[in-house]
Amino acid sequence: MKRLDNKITAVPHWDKTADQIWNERFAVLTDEDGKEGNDGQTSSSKIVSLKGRTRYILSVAAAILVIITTTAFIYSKDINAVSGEIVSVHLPDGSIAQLSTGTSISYRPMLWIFSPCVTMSGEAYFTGSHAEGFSVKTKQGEIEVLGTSFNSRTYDDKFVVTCIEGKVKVKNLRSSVELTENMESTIINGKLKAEYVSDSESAVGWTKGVFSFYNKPLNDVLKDVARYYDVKIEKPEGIDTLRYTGKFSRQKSAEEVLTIIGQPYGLTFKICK
Amino acid sequence: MIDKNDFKALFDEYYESIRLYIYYKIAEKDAADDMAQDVFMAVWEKRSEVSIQNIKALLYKIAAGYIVDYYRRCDVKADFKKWISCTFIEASVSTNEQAEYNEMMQLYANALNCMADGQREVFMMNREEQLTYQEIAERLRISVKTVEKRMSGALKVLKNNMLTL
Repeated sequence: MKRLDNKITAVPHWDKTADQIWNERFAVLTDEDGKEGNDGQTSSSKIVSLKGRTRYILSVAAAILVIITTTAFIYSKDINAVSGEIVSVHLPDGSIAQLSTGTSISYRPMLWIFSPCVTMSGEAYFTGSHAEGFSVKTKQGEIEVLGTSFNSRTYDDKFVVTCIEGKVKVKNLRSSVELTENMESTIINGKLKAEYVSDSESAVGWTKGVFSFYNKPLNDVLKDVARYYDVKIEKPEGIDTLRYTGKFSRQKSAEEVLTIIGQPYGLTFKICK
Repeated sequence: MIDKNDFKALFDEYYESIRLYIYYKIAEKDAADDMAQDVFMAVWEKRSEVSIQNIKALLYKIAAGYIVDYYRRCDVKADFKKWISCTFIEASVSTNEQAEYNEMMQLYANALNCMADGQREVFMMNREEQLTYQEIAERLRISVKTVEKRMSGALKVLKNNMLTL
């Protein structure tokens, strides 16, 4: 009998080293997560009695203040991009948000100085100086902008942020991660993951009027197309494992686009009316 | 109670072992890597409750729990055939020798598939990571005697499979 040679091993070749995994997922954890500071509760109040005129002026001033703050809170700008168009929005700090089809964002212009914050759902590409830094809120998590351009998409249960330039911080209730150039974070079911991507540009292909996919599950590609043209696509069975890479203009009709996508697989997709 | 520095040290020391441990049990590379990350995330989230003394065994215990969950979700038999590899140290190996190695690799994978879970984890921890029986016993919280017993069982399976050569 031959002896089992030491060179034979059953250990697989891992895609990532432990260090890479640390950097992608664990390096961003901080000890302070979840601990709340407790201060600002110490100011004692004094009761001051006021007379006549002063009292009148003060109450008028108070009333005006209340009216201004209420309007500031109530007054919000809501922008929706309907099917087939890309809308550019100038935010108060000079940065620009480009909204993809079916996206809506809202912010409060009068409160911008105090809390620069945009609420969004759908897909948007933010560019500009962001000198003061604002935050973008979505259902699944929050983005803190640290001076950069980035793409943010929330469709289905997925929340994907792709950093094209500079730096952003993405957080949800449990964890947070800082993204630099060419990094992408994904939140699914409350789980936050970050990784380097080789094709960050394809995430913003839609702003240039092209569809750009790089090794993307065919299912997701079809979803994107269906969303853009606002149509329903009948999917043949057994396409769950297929992946697609390609780039083409959005000027084409939905039928043309589906022919392009189906060709390499020998598939035809139908649009349900 | 552990802090970020402790956690980093823990990660550096045990991450590789934990993902290997899960892999020994399920023979799936990507799932093992994901699960190992979940194990460390779970420890991080419970960091105020855990103490650094018994954390080694805790890691393996959490991992074992996730493995049970995994099997509940997808009931598949571990198969090591696709992961086995062979590095040739000599520059040139004859086709004849190569065929021999290939056969040996198949037999080795077969032997691993045949081992009971308990036997395989001990055997692989010892052979692939060169851990001592004492160290294995501490990590799995079993006695050294049990490690020895499982090891001899594993070697018996190995012998039965390889003797045909």
